[in-house]
Amino acid sequence: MSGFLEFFQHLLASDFLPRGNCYYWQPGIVWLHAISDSLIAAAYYSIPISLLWVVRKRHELKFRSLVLMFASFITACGVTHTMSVWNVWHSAYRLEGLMKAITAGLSVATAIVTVRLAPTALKIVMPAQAERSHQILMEEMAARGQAEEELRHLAEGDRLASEAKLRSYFEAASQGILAFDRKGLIVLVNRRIEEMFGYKRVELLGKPLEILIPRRPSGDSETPDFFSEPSVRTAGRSGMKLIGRRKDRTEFPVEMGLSYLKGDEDVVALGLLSDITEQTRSLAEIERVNDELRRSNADLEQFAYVASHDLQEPLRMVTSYLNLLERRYKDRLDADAGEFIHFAVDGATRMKGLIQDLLRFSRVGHQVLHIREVDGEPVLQAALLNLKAAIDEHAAEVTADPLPTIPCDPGLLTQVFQNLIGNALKFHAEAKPRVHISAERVGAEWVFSVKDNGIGINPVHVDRIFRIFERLHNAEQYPGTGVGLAVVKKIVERHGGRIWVSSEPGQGATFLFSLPVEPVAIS
Amino acid sequence: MPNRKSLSVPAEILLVEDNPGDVRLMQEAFLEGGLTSTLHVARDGEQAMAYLHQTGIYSDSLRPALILLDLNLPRKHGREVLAEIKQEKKLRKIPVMILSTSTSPEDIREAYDLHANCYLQKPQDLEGLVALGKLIENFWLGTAMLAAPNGG
Repeated sequence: MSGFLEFFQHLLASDFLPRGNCYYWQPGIVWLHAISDSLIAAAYYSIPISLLWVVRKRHELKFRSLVLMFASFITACGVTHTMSVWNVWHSAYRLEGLMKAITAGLSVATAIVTVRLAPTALKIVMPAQAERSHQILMEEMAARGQAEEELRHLAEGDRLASEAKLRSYFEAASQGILAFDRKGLIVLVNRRIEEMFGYKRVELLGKPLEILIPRRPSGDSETPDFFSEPSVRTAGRSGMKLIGRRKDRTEFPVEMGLSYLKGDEDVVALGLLSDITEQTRSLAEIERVNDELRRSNADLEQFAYVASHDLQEPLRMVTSYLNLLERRYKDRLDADAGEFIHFAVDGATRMKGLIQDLLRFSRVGHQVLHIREVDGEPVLQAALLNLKAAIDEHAAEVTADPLPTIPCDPGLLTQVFQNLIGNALKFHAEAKPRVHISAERVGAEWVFSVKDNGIGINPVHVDRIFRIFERLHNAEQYPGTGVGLAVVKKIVERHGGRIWVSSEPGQGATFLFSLPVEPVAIS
Repeated sequence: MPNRKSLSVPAEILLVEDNPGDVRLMQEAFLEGGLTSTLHVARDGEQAMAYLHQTGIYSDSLRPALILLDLNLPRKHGREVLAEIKQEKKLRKIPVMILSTSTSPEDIREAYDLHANCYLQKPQDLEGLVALGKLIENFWLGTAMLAAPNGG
């Protein structure tokens, strides 16, 4: 018992030699031991601090007591190493021995507990494995997060880009664009609206649409209607035109297309406005010209009827009564009177011819064309049959190449051939009249030619000959009123073709006319 | 003797014509041509209908065997006169010759649509008119068989 007491009384006594003596105080070995033990001690102290921190944080941690035991065992180890350092220079071997004993006790206890818990520990997830799963999970989450972030970024970029694009379109649009809400208040305008109406943007935002497009006298407004059933459409129903009013109170016709945008809170109406002043003016002009044309056509038709009836009536009276005079009073009139009556009747007869030709010309311009695919051969034959007397009279030789099938009004084409061949016979020279008809395909047209060996035409006159009542010769030389070629020209032109002539005096003449391969009718 | 009706020369002919020059000319042409039929004259469409219905001053008019009708008439146009004649059962058997200056295809088509019996252009001179008068009398009153008037 006294030995036990003595042990504790001399616990801190230095009655032994410090361990340094064993190292002969060689600094190398002294410091090797001292520093190594110090480092081991420091390490041993730090480990339990970490363990205690984990235990405090992780309340769910299993084997809590084991961890605590482990911590105290390591701490104790630390203390024994600290004692080793101390005892290099001192000699508290009793205290050191006591510390070792305590450490030994803690070590054995921990070892026993560890051995006993080992099978249970096997069953729980190994920390490394958990760590790995955890890491994979974290990686996945990180990857997903990044992808989402990238997507968000991209979307944001797109949105910004398309917004910028939209804004530039919006501003640069040649149409005025505005948006108004359910209350009819303007919420958006583009530059064109400012130009069209002469307002600054700030003067319009929040103002009623009516300052730009005043309500019509009927009180009709687009706004309530539109919001009751938003759709894409044109404002101003059934031909009703909208009137825009500028800042300077002047008005102009506008057309407004309506669309709508679904905003965050409500629908806004999107109006696309065009200034249709020009179109309206052009339309009015076209309308006016059309009216004039209709009137002039009606006048012509009226003229045609007047020519066919009213104008001929008095002529018929003149002729008939002159006839009666001549017939009934022949014996009582002298030779002069007979001659006078003859001239009067002749004048009236020519007048009648002129009127009838004028009527013919006018009808050619107005009659409805009955265009169909027609074989040129029988058309030419019909013309030649009508000219049989003249051909026989002049002992003329009329020849023709094969003719194509073309879209035309056959009656009118007959008349074209008849007039051209008739002219060729009429204006014959000394030699036996020869007329040759041929056709040639030139691009999208057939070009017909009627060639003769007659007196020909001085090229300076070629423009005149197609005018109505234009004559190059007097009536005694070559009878006629000068309507034949005018009628031909009109018929050809109504078929979408052209007519021209190539000739030299004394060299005969070739009349050429074209007819389109595809049917067209010019009214 | 129903057959005698077809060869009805001399007959009564109604000329509906507003122009006195034409009326006189027709009379002269009948004279020059030696035609024997009697020419009765109505100066407009209303007179023509009054004559045919024997109303007013025409109460004792004679039913014509033939009507010569000008188209261009004042007050009631020749087309209307033609249409009325051809709609009336009592009158539509009487042949109507349209005599017009017009050669307009529309006028001709319309006249036949309204059941004109023939369309004739007024001749340009006296000789033509004399010839036409003879032709009409020879064909319509000499050759063609005409229907007897209703109940007559």
